[in-house]
Amino acid sequence: MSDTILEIKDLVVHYVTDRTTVRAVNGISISLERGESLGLVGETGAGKTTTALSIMQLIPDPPGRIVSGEIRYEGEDLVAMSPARKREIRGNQVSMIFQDPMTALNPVLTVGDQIAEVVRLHQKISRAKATVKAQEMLELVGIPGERYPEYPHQFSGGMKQRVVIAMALACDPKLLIADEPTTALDVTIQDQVLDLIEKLMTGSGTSLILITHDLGVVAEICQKAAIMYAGEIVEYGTLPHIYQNTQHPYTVGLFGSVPNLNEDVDRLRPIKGLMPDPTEVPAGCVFAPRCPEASAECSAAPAPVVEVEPGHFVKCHKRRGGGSK
Amino acid sequence: MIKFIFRRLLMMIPVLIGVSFVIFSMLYFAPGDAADVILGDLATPEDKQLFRAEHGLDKPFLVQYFNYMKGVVTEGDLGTSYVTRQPVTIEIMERFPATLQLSAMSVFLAVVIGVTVGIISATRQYSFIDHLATSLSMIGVSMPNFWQGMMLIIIFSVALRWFPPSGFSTPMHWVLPAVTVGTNASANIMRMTRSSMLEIIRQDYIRTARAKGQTEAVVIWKHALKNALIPIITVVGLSFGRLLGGAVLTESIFSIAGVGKLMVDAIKLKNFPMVQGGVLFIAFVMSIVNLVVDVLYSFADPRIRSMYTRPRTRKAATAKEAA
Amino acid sequence: MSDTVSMKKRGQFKETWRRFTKNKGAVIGLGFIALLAVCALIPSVIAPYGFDDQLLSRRFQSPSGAHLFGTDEYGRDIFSRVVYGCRISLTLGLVSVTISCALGIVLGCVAGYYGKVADNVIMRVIDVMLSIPNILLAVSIVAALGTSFFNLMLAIGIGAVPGYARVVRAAILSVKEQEYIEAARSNGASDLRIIVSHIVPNCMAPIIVQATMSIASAVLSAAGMSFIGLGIMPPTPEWGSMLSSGRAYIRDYWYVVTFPGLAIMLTVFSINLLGDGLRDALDPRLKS
Repeated sequence: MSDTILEIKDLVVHYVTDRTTVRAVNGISISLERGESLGLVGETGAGKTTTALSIMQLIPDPPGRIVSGEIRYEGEDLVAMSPARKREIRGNQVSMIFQDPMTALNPVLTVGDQIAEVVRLHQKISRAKATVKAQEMLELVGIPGERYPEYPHQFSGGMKQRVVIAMALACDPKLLIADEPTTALDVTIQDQVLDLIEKLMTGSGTSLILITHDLGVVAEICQKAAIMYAGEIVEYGTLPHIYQNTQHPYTVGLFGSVPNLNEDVDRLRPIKGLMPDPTEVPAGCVFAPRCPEASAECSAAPAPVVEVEPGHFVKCHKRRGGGSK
Repeated sequence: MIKFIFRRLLMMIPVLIGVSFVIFSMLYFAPGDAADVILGDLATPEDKQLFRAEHGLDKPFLVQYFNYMKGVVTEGDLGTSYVTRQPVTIEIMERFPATLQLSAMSVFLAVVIGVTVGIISATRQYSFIDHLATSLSMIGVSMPNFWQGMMLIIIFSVALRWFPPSGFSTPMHWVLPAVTVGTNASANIMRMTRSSMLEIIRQDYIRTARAKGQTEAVVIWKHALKNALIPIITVVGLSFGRLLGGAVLTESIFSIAGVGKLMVDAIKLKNFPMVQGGVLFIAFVMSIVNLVVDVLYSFADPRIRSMYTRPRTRKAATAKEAA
Repeated sequence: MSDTVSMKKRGQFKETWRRFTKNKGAVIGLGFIALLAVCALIPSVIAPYGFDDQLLSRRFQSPSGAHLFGTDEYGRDIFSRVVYGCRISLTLGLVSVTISCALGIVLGCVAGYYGKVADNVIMRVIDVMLSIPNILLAVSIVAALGTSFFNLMLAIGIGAVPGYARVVRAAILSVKEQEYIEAARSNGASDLRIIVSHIVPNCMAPIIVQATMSIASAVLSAAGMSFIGLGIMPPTPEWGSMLSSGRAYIRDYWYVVTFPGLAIMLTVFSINLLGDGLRDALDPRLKS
């Protein structure tokens, strides 16, 4: 259980339009073991989805481009791989659940055919067997198999997301990326879908990257967490590292802005200010303009990555002498 | 589905009545008396009076319209040509096969060229091929159909002597007219295909298809094209109307004995019953085309289909039979 | 207050102009239309001959320095006739579009704003008009009213009314329920005032685009009408009627029909380029 399935090194992704360059991801590094699950947390626009699409090699180009860095999947660099090899991996070994189930399914194809398609692509089996497999997948996510010949518009949002999950898991992927799988759903459905993902993940040996802005969800499902801010990972470690030994001021701020039942506070403490414009990333630490602890050195130079305890990394000037608290 | 087609057929009736009323009243109030036109200057007033009585032209406007419509509905009688003294219906039906053949060949050509080039253009947006195709299509929509026909005659009949310049009897005769009308209509189809494909290939479900590891060809020609069909069908339907209009002029360029040439000749001779019957006939054909377009929509889009088919009882899926 | 509004408007105009000038095709289109406009305004300065100067000894001259586009069956200089033709085509395009624009906006406003019965009646009439191919509708109108320049413009204008009515109606339906309309109504503004001062400005962009595009199709239709003898009659140098009379000679003299047709094509082409550019500049969301 200790071999690395995914390793991202210094990934930089830009979106270049005729007038501006959006620096969506700025040198992030992540590594993920087999069977492990990682929560990728951050605000909208922090670069989480771009990171996920980079792993899938589905960055829309143009305007998006992987400027530098490596994404090693089982040792092979996805960035440098041939398109045919990428297609072999996509949907088969690495698959993704998209954010908005309303638009993720093709409206003119039956849901069953859409699931069977991925099976037929990667497993050399007959059409009939693929159909059976697709029905099994539907049953697995709690949809009666006889709804195979129905179209997406005949399903509710939560059901559609189940179909998307069935599609993503149909080939028993080794790595599953779930990009805010519940954001577009009703609150009452969100838990069901998360429980489903959790249930299907346990014991399957599949690694998971769960993208979310909800720290509570990460605590429930993941073993590791990476906090993203303005295209950088500002804090990275195991759950106990992040939740019990919170180091980065941004992470501290995130916890402060989440309601806590055990604590009686009058008001939540939102983080003041807004994320920097991704076309004009600050020269120093990206969080400096909003950071309560910022000093002159913070806006002067980019923050260094500090390993405050084994496996717990923080990108902050103020933590250079080791962890506080 | 049958019910839907029947309902749409019923909806055609008021439109056709409207068209016939508009056309009939316009030509009724047209200056120039049919009796003068037909009988010429030498006829005596008595002759003219007799002619009018014979054709019911002395009755009040609404009576004339009612009589005309009665003939149309009960016997398919669109009146009598002033020139040949033949029933208009018979003359039109004699000429219609040529027009239908020209239209069908042109539509086929237009769809094949328009859709293919549109898709290639959209998938290689801003490439040289895209720029070339969009420029050519822009030139295509800017050319008068009949002038394009004349240019093709000058180049391919007069200069190169590859194809005959007129007539419609052999396949060699079909080429230039069909290319004239077809390429002209393909420009519109190409533009519509390109713009709807551009929109569709940015949709999430296309990304989903790619995320499955599907090849680019299948992503485009299956997942994307199936979704682009709706706007493409719409524009093909619309082009058919333009195409019928264009065929009117193209037929006279190539001396094809179709409904279009019949009408142009009738206009020149002020043969009003012919013009009236022709317009009404073409409006009828266009209504049928619109109906076909509506039915095709339902094949292309399950969301539209489910609006007028009863929700299917959830039968055991085809898969169970297969397994 | 009014200062900031006009400043904002100027800013919008500038931004639109910037987007427009970035589109090379649109600028070329605009340039060519300017050239046509000059031809239309001062044809006698540009054309080396009069449009009706006949010289039977110089019939069917091939294009040369003396006769850029050659001469026709009466020995008239085709280049000069094409130059004089600009005035007719541009006038025809502008007037017929003005007619259809005015009618279409009124119909679209009434249908969209009042809805219910008015909407139903107007839209059914439009359905009727749409089921007659444009050229045949124009043919019927001209056949009924008689051939004249004005009737031609009217016929072509009426054929384009449904397009405007639909665009305006759709635009009105989309802005009608917006809160600022509600606010104006609660302030006691009359229907007419709401339509004129609130709704129409908000659908200007699609109308301008539609108008530009329909000038192009008006020029095309007019050429077609003249070609079948229901438009402008010879010897007036209308491009379509030049094609019509030149048609008999295409086997021997290619230039008689080539240049008037090219003039039509280039005119329509530039107007279309301009229309595309305007659409992208006025409403970036519509960009394809």
